[in-house]
Amino acid sequence: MSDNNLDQVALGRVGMMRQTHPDYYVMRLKAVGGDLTARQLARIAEVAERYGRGEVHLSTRQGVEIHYVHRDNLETAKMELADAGVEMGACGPRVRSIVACPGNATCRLGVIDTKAMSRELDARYFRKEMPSKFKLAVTGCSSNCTKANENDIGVRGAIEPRWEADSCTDCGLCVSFCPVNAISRQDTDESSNYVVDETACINCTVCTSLCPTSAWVVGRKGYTVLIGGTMGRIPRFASVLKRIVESEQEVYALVDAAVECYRERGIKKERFGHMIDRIGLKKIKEEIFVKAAVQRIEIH
Amino acid sequence: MSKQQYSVSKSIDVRGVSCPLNAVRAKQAIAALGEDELIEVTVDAGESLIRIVRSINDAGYRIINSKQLENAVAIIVGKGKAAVRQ
Repeated sequence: MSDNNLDQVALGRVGMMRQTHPDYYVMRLKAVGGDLTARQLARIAEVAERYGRGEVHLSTRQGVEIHYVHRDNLETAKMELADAGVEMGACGPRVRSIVACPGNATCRLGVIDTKAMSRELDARYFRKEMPSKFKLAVTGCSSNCTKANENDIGVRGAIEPRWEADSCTDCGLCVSFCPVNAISRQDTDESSNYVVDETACINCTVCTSLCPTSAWVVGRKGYTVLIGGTMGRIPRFASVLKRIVESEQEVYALVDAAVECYRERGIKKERFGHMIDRIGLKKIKEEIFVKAAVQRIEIH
Repeated sequence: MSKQQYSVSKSIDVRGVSCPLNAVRAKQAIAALGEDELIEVTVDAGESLIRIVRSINDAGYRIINSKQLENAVAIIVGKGKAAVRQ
């Protein structure tokens, strides 16, 4: 049986890709947020030794790929992996593995629970058919380790700082350490006030975590939702859909609406960001907000 | 928010010293301070400043003032009663 007799689209759906070598395939495995257990890793190693060449490739989407698997062994290898809870990834025009940083589970800078959110996004969207490939990323804070703005949809932990005069000793350090110079000191006749320029603020946690007297506190905390990022042949940085979304449910409503919008309006093989450029960011944002509002009304 | 009166008895300049050595040197100098002494630590602006401030806060020392210089910041730090605010 030649490779032409195999359904390549069906294989791609479950993360199996033809290699340059006839009859050999890549098995792309899923690791939501880059997480695998030691037992799963051990099983991946066993399968790679038994059916591959005893080596793995680490993908850019935090997954593991086993290369050089003969087509006759694909099903068996897949079952042995599934037995240890290792699922297949995805190729082609559909939602790919969700990537995430460790978030506030272990990172001192993390603002949000990236692991819970990436698992939820995985449950909702993984392998969903789309006009082109579709990538989602969750990153815990403005350090942006998971590069949320290179993904079709990115969710980034965000805070809005608030200055509390009573705790401030006017040391001026915040003006110096703010990474984007968004904080300034404004003097009046009676006192000195510290103010943050909200248009310049990147919603990171530098001021709230470093102020020696905790005069900068977290005012609002939530998620920045970004849309339309992509690297690839025609890179495009993501656009901000909403700067601070305070509830997790609203994040899902916005993501649902963005996914629906792209599925309705996207042309085959056109990435989400390029669709946004074709139609116009303002118009797409409006459409997404309307869809998300309708959805939230339906839920309540 | 009244400014506290203080006098600085020591100083260390860690400009140009890479992380984490700049923080290590600064913390060594702070550790050697007496209870009533303050030190002026001069550090490069940007990531170095952020790392040093985090390191000083984590160690339990107190930053009581700062001064912006060209591409650098001078911070006043103490560890004992000299750094306790009124």
